[in-house]
Amino acid sequence: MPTGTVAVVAETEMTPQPATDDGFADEVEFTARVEGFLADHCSRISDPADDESEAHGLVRTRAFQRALVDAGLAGLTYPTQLGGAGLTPLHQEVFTRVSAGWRLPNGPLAISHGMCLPMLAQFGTEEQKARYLPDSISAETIWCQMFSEPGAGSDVAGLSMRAVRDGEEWILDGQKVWTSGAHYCDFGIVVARTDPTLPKHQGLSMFIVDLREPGIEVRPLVQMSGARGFNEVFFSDARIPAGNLLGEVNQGWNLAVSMLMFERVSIGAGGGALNARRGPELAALARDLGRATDPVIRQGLADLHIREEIKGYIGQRIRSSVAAGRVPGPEGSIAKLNGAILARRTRDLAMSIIGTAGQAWDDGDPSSDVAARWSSFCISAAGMSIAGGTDEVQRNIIGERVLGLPREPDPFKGAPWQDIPRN
Amino acid sequence: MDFTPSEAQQAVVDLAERIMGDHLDMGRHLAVEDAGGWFDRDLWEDLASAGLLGIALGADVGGSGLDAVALALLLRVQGSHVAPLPLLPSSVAALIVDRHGSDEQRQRLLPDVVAGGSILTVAVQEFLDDRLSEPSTTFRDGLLYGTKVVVEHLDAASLLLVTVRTPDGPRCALVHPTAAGLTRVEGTSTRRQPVWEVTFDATPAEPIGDDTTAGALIDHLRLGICATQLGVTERALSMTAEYTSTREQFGRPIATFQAVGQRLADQYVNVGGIRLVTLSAAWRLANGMDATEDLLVSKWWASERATDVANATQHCHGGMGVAIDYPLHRYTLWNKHLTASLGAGTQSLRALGAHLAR
Repeated sequence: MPTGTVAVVAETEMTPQPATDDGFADEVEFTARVEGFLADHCSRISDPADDESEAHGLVRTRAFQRALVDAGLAGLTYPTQLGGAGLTPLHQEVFTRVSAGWRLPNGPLAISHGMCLPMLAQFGTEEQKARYLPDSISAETIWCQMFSEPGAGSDVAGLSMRAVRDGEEWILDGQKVWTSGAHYCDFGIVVARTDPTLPKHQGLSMFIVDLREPGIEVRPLVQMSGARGFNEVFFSDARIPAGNLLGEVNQGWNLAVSMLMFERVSIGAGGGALNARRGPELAALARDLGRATDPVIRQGLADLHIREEIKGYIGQRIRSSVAAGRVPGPEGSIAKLNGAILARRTRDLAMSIIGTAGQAWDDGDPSSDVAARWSSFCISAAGMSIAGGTDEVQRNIIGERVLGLPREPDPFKGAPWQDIPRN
Repeated sequence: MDFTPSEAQQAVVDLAERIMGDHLDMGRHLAVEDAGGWFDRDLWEDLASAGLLGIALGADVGGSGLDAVALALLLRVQGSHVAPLPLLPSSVAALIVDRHGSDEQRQRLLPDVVAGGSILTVAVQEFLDDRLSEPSTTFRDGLLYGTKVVVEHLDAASLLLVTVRTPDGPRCALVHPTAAGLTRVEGTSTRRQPVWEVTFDATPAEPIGDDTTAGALIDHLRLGICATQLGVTERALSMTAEYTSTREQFGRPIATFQAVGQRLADQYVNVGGIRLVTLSAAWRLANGMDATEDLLVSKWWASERATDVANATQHCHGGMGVAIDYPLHRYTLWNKHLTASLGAGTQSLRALGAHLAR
């Protein structure tokens, strides 16, 4: 089969070079270990989708993560004394590569492990790391990210939520929105304004928040797909210990940029279900629906195969950089933008394959799950271009930071945040 | 060809706009959605009282005697309010009965449709069958055999107009939803509307029309879909123009960023195209001319460009676009449903290619 041949060649060529003479043997052994673990604990991507409630999903997620801990496969690159496996970026890449063919039940940990965990490891004090990392790695606690506000979307640095120091505490007031997963999370990382007299990027600070504390209210938002993944989070005189500051006071924007890059990498180059290859599934769908001989569909499938191959290389490059302990730079924007564009192309191809069968589905019939699942994918694909910074924001970053183009003039440059008009 | 609405057509638009605009606020939408069934019966009765359910039917059955252009303009208003009503299947089926039925059929069926007491629906799509004009559902010795999919409003309809295959070619037949041998499976469509797969097994049916009727039904359904989609895209775009003009980031309305403004200007061109090809097709159909080419162009353009419009309007609303308590998401879901109705862009393009290269 042509696709199989291409995939094998590609994998061989992209296999990371062993770091030492023993590296290759170690990699083979580790690959077998990961394969054995996944075979025991998950289903293959090609199996029919599980249809499970979110609560059940969380139970499964936690059980899966505990099994990883027991097998010494959780938090691969984090130190053992902080609950990690103490292994190398190469091991992480092997794990990501092997798990691409499996449906890992770890969707609810995408933000917790893709964004919050690296932030804590990178910027947390020794005390904070010791306190939070082990439980986060084992999914004993799940974390969310709270940046966006009703008035601060693309202009997230213009956010209004206040944090005021009061003795050994900070008092938080304001509203966050589009907070993914807050309704099942234990902790969150929040950005708030600590000095409104400074220019907008300079008066922000980042905090760790225990969502179960008084003064914090989480309200789910219902989406057009029927899902309830997002929330509004309201802070009213919420008091948090001074020790929950992450990084330095008024240095929050630098940390926020790092976290946004982790987010972009996670969305555009992460190893989870979000970035699983869709091509093989769509080819199978085309065969099932008798459309596999249509030349237009075949061209679409070939085009998707090429783009997913390239996406895989972009992801691999960035993941190895992140696993080596580097905070991703603008290449996170490249991965994120590319991922969003690819999601839309996948959606369009899926719709042209599924045609009328994607218009409606029978709720009780497992054979029409496929239609319901693709239809739901198609509705949610557009969100990829918004979450984690819009396509326009990513293009601006690529223009300015990769191509070195001049920045767009900002009439409010250097002005104190409190003097900038906002509605 | 003159696309300026006549006085009578404009009166229909104004009246429909007033009734739907007054009635359908956010609370009303949510109430209808909560109730299930995807049918605002109060609004339907208001349209019936205003005489809007028979605008394209003959005066002798209680209609207003207007043409397919008037019907298209009415469906455009429905689309712009995303009004959950069986207006498209019922009005198109009634128009076909009016133009193709016998006198007896017209007198028996249509006055009740005009009064709002009887709702018609259509059954033309078959699973994975792109060839709408060659149905595999067969009609012989007065009995129907086969399966139709995505039948809307089966729970409310008193009669189905079905495209069928006969030894003499494709025809149309009328079936009662409770007829013997008719079984149904309920499903859900993209716009959260209940739809049915309907199977006929020796189901008694009544023939209607001649060898032109099935083609006319499909033509008018295509027109109706495009006209509805025209209203949907026009309103989604104006809603987005308003939102991006008032939503401020970086201290200015986001519409003043060229990436936003130019993308919306492109959508204006897309919507303008839907408007022109749809009205042209309507005008040809209303004047008894061959509209095959215009209808395929129009269905293809509406399918592809409405998808662009939905993506752009959704994107420019950011997170707001997906929130259930902001109206835009309904327009996106309607667009997706309408795009897939009677075959999406690819199928229309293939049919157009076959038509041009014959």
